[in-house]
Amino acid sequence: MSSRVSRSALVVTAMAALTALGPVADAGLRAGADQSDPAEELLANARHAAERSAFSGVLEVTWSDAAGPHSREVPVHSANGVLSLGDEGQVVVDGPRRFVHETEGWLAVWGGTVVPDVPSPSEKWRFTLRDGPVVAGRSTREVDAAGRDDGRVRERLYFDTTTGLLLRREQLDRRGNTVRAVSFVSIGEAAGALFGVLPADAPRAPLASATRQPRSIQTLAAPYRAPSTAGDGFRLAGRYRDSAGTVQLFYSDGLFAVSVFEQQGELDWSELPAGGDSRTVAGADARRYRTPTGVVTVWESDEVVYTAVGDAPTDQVDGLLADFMPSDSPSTFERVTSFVLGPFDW
Amino acid sequence: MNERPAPDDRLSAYLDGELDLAERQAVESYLAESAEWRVELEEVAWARDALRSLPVREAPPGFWDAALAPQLTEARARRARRVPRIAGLGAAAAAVAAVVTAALVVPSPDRVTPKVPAVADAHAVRASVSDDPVSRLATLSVVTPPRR
Repeated sequence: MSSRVSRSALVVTAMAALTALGPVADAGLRAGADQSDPAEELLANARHAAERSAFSGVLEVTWSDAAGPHSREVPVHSANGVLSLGDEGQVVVDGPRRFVHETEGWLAVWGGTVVPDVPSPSEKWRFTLRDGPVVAGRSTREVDAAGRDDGRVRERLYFDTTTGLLLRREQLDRRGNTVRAVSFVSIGEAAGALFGVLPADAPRAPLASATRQPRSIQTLAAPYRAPSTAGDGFRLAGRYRDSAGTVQLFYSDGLFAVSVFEQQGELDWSELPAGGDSRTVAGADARRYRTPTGVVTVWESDEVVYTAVGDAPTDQVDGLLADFMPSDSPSTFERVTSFVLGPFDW
Repeated sequence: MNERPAPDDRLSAYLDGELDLAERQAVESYLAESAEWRVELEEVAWARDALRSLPVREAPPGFWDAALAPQLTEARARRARRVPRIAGLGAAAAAVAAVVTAALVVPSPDRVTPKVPAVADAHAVRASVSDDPVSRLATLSVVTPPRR
């Protein structure tokens, strides 16, 4: 009797093991069938690795502006599929949802899923994959992304060999100097986690929040501009409008992204924040700021104020902006004439 | 089977709550079925909001008197002389009124100052959806003040 029970238990255990391994084997087969670039796979997996892993760590963000180099440390926690960032968890990620805590309380700043909408990074970038250095005590695989045209490395990414988590990313200028970086300086198990029980300080999505989510839009009429491609291989991957009417165009080349914000009106240069550089971009006067997120460029053309935010290298951002630069603006006289004669223009 | 019409003025009335029940139900069915109607609704809503947000611009004191006085004086003088040129005067006055109206109605552009930190955050949020969320959003918490 007891031997029969043991055999039954063995059979059940074996079936359970096969059932559990099935998806893994299936995933492996599919990955093999896709024959995708292993570096691209690392990039793709990193999008969800942070939510799949439970951990606590500290990130260091470094960037430079006119005042010199800066760095800030940012605590980050992940448990049960929810991420929080900031000293007091003021940024929360729950699946596709994004929340930010501001003075008026929690704001839902993103809520919708997006279909895979960005081009393959391999169209523009050539990846080199190798064993990387130890980052925050973890062994890594390093991916260097170099331009297919000039072979210059413009970004280095370091992935945890065990979890797939992106542990460090460095952006380089044309001379190979690191201009911005985000890196874990420490990472460990989620503190206080018990099997099936979340610790009291585990990140959680807020139960109530006001919404400040932009709406996806399908079309844009003049005077707005929304080229479907721009610069060196950037593709328009999303069009949005916020509650104040500001349009956001999201461009990606698969590795870097640039958002171009458009507002109708005349740029009030005197009210722009201090600390920017005045410069000319593709023949237009512009003000440029270097922020932790990337380069911000503000200019005006044809009574539309443009603000571009790019996490891409500066030369890449400038190339994209050239496709938004001025045409001949109508004068006030032309606008009045057009208004008066417009009804008779049949 | 009823054919669905192209989007029309009912969308504006729909947004303003001016349709009767049958018309509203018809519009809502078109919106449910047609991306074209939904896009048009979005555009109408945006245009309506944009128009309503335009500032009201008043003519400077004395502007109308100065602009129209010569024409009115001339008109009165001609009427007194009973010269039958009323039609010509009317056309001239209409032209003047059209130009004056155009100068006042064609909106001069509003002054805009982009909120640099806010747009940088909006970019980071959108980028985090297509990329690694940790490295993209880390910059957001650098500039977002801690909770109080």
